[in-house]
Amino acid sequence: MPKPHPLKGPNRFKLGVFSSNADGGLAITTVPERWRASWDDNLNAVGIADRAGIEFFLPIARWRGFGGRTKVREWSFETFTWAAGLAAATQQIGLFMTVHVPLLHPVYAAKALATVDHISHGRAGLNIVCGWNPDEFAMFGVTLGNDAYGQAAEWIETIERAYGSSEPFDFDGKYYQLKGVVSRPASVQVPRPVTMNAAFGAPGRNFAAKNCDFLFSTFSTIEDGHGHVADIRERAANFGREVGIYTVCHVVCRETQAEADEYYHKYAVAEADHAAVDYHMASKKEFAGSHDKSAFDLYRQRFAGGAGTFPLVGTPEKIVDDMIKIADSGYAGTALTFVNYSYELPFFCDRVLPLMKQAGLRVN
Amino acid sequence: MLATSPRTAGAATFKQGMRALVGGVTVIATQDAMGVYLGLTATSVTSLSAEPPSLLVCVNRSSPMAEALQAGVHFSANVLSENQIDVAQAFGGQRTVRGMGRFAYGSWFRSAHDVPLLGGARVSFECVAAESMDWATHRVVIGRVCDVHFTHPAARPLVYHDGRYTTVE
Repeated sequence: MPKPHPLKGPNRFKLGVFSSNADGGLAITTVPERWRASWDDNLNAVGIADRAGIEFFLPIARWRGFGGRTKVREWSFETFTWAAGLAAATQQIGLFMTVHVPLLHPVYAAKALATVDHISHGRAGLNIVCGWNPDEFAMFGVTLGNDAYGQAAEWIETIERAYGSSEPFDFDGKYYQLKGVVSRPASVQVPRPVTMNAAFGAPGRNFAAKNCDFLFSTFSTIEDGHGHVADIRERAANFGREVGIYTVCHVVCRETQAEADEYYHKYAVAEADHAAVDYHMASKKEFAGSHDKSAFDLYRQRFAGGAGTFPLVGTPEKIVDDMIKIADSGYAGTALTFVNYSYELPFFCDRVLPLMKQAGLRVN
Repeated sequence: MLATSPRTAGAATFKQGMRALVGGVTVIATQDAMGVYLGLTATSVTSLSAEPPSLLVCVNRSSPMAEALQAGVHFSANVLSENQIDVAQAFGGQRTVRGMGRFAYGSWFRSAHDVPLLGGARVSFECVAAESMDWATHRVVIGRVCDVHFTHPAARPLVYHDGRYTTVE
């Protein structure tokens, strides 16, 4: 029997690595050491995280970039095949796939997801995304629907029924009309691999409350984070469910606060890819509904630094102090990004993880 | 005294007495005919015979589990480890989760015969329901054991005793 999924493990505050499959990670910068996301870069980074006991790797689903000097994010690996490759090269880390519901048929997704769950012996996870970028959808000749989460609900129901049914079944929904659906092997995990979502608006959060195990939520200040936690818990309780709440942070961890601040300014202000930051901020503000408004107005540096996520910048002690506050707000963990995962993860794992253990945030 | 009325201890006295009985904690899990997963914490799981390997589980007749455990249905009896108190509580109705929401607790995996098995349990018995009988509020189900998964036998057991969860060395 497989080991319990890492996201069901004993650590109070779980850690993941986000967006290593894409150029730049979450940063929008021109510094020469910026993340190139080659396959070997990914293998190297996941190896460090896997050996250190980091719980999960989470990719972004990106089909085109944000332009600018660096054509940031234009290079990115497709996430099912990426996770399948990493699954065969790792021992214990959880591996998510990120899927745009309108761009991938659920019967195909069911089989691809089950395949990765078998390769990884039950370590797969699914990040269900409805999409926000019309330029990407145009590449597929698909327009953004106005009932995205209605479609997503049918999509995940199809996958769960496919895993749970040993006999072929018909599905007659508003978005999918399917005949004689069967999908074997089913996933290793029951009822399906763990699922997550990062919705911010009410329809998306209700979808997550009903269908996802984890919800990722960004915040401008740690104090704001508490409100998101209460909101999501209440929505989940309405369905008799509990949803683990996670956030995303970009990290600059150095021996001194001055070094960390200086590097944060360098990559995210002085040497940011400003044209790409403009495109990304403008398009996300209009379409995403994934951040609160003050994040756009106040935190341009945070966009260049990590796509508007919360910054963990400073010494290992400072970063652990921030993580204690985030955990105390009700968060079960965070996904992390770095300018260069391979260069920065070893220092983070060596210095921050033992302090987290000392602080009671982790047992291993 | 009426000759037709059997002597009986009161329910409260009975429950008080049963607090002294030390029990392992087991979660019964199955998938119903509609493909819905069901799980229930039970302390009354008992070894019945070794040839053929079989066990007894007792579930409340009003539970969906009693309805689901018809003859021929596959189910698992998962013996919990010390660190699975939250799983015991979730499937025992002591948390806010309901129905399939309970499966957020614990890591569940599919057996080769589509039976949900609990990761990290000391041992999981994979069974087929053979026969059952009803007694008052409860249904006694005989499960013929078709596979035994020694998942984490080195873990200390979760034990229910005196109304609380504990363990033994």
